[in-house]
Amino acid sequence: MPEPFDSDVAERTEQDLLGLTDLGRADAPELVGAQLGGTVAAELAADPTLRQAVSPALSGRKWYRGLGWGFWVAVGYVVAWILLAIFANLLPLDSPTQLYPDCFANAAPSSAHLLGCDPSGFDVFSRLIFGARVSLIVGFASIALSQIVGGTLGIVAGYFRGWFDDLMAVVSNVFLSFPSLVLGLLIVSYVGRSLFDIVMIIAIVAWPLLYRVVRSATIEYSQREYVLAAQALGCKRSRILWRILLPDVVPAAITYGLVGVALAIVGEGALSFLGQSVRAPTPTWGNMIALGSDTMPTYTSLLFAPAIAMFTFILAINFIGDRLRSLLDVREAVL
Amino acid sequence: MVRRVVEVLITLFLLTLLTYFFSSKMPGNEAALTCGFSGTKCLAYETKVLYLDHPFFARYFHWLSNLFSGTLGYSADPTQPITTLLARSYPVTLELVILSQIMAVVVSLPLAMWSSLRPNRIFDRLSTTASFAALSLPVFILGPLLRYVFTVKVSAFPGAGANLPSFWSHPISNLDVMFLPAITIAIPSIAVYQRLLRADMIATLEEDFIVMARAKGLTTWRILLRHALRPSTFTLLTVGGIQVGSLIVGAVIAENVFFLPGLGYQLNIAVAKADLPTIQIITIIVAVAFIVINRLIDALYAVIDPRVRRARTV
Repeated sequence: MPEPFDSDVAERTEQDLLGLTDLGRADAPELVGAQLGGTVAAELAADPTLRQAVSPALSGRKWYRGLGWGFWVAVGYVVAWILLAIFANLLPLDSPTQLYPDCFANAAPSSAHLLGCDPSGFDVFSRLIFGARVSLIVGFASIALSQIVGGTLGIVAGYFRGWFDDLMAVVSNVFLSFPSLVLGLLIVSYVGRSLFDIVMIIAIVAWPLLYRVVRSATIEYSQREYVLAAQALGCKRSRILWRILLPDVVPAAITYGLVGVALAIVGEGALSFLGQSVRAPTPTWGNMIALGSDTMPTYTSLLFAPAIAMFTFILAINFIGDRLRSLLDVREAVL
Repeated sequence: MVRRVVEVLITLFLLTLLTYFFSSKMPGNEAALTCGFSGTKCLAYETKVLYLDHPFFARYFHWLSNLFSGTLGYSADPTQPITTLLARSYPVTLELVILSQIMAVVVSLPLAMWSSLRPNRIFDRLSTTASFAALSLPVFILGPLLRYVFTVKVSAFPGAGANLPSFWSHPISNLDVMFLPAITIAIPSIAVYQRLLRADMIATLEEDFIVMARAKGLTTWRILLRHALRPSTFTLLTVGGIQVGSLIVGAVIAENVFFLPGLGYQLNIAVAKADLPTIQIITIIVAVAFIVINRLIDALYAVIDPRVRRARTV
C-alpha cells in the first residue's frame, strides 16, 4: 500500500535506527513496522486489530481493560490466600501441629475450633491456613525454578536451533515420556521429602513443559520482520536474544507459568494425597484431603474444608491464566 | 519411518537409564532389602547377583539385560515374584482406563455436538463453564467426593476397598466396583474432549460443505455424525497423546482413592516401602505404554485424516 505514513513516526524511527536504541522494542508498535519501510507502519496505524496482533501487550490502550470483574475477584482471592499463608504466624490461630486435649471430647466444629478437629486432635482450621503454605511455596517456587531453567534453555534452543535444539528435543522428550506423577513418585524415593526436595521434584517434572512453550514462542517471534531487520542492521546475537526476543516471549511464559503453578499445586497435592510429600505432622491440603478421605463417614468437614480450599484456589488461578491468555492472545497451539 | 523407530529406541534407552538412575542409589541398599536380617552370606550373594560392587553403567546394563530376559526378580515381599504382582494388577488398570475412556466419549460427543449447534446459548455456556470447573478439580478431590456421595450418603455402590472379582467371571459385580473409579477419571477427560470437540465443531459447521449438506436437505443428525464429526476430531487426536499422560496419573490416584489393586496402587505401596524392583518395573511399564499409545495415536491420525495420509505417502 503506497499510503504515506506519519512523518513524525518516520523522524523518530530515523533517530532510532541511528542510535540503535532498543530496536524493535520501541514503546509505540508502529515504529516496529516503520523500520521496515513505512508501508507496514501505515497498515498498522490504519488497522487497530493488526497493531494489536503485532504487539498485543504494548498497544496503546490500557492493558487491564476488558478483563472483567471476575478476573479481579479471582486475583483478590489468590492474593488473600497468599497473605494468609505468609502471615499465618501472626494470626490468632491455634498451632497446626499441637494436640488439643479438648478435641477428644468434642471433635465437631465449635467456637474453640472453627472447623472442628481431626482424629489425632489437631485443629482443622489452623491446619487449613498453614496448609496453604506448602501448596503455595511449592507451586510458585518450583515453577519459578523451572521457568529459569526451562525458559533459558527454550529461548536459546529456539533462537540458535542446530545441534543444541536437537539435543534438547531428545532430553525433554525423555522427561515427557513419563506420566508426571509417576516420574514424581520415582524421584521422591530417590531425593527425599523435605519441602526443598518437593520443590526440586516438581521443577524436574515441570521444566520440559515450560521449555517447550518458550522454545516455540521464540521460534515464532524470531521469524518476525523486526528481528530480521535487527539482524540485517548487524545487531549482536546476544542483543537480539535478550533485548528483543526475551520481552516478546515473556507474555507466553507468564501465562503458561500460571497454568504451571496450578499444575504444580495439583502435583504436590497428589504426592501429599499419596503420602509422599512433606512429612507429617506438617499440614498440606493434599494430606488433609487424604485424611478426610480415609476417615470419611465420621469426620465430614475434614474432607470438605481442604477440598473446597484447594478447588477454589486452583479454579481462581486457572481463571486468571485463561483471561490473560485471551488478553495477550497467546494461542493454545503454542504447546 | 526409520527415523521414527530410531527416535523411539533412543527415547526408550534413555528412559530406562533415567529410571535406573533415580532408583539405584535410593536410601536402602538393594541387597540389604532383599536379604532382610538373614545374614552376611546372603548379602554377599545378592551383591554379586545384583552387580552392586560394579560401577554404575555395568550395573545398569546388567539390570537391563535382566529386564529383557524377563528375570524381574522379587519385590520387597520375598514370597511374591514381581511377575505375579504385575499379572494381577495390570488388567485392573487397563480395564479402568478403557472403561473411563468409553464413558468419556459417550458423554462428551453429544455434549460437544449440542453445544456447537447453538454456540453461546444457554446449554453451551453451561457445559463450557462446567468443563472449565471440572478441569480445575483434581482427581484426588473428585474421587473422595464421589466416594462420599455415592458410597456413604447414598449406598449406590460398594465402598472403597471392596473385593474386585474378575470381569470375565462376574461382569456385573466387577463393573459395580469399577464404576466410581472409572467415572472419577472420566470426568476430566470429558471436560477436555468437550472443549476441544466443541471448538473444532463450531469451525467445521461454518465450512462450505456443511452448508452444501444443509442445502441438500440432510437432517441435522446426519450432518453432525456423517459430515462434521470426522474433520472435527483432529485437534482431539493430537492432544489425545498428551491426554494419555494425565489419564495414567488419574488412574494412579483413583486406584489409591478406591483401593483398587491396580498398577498405581502397587506403585504407591512400593514407594512407601522403598521397594526398588517394583518401582522400577512399574515406572517402565507405564512409561513404555505411554510412548506406545502416543505412537498409535499418531498412526491413527493418518488413518482418519486423508490429508496427512497423502502427505506421508507422496
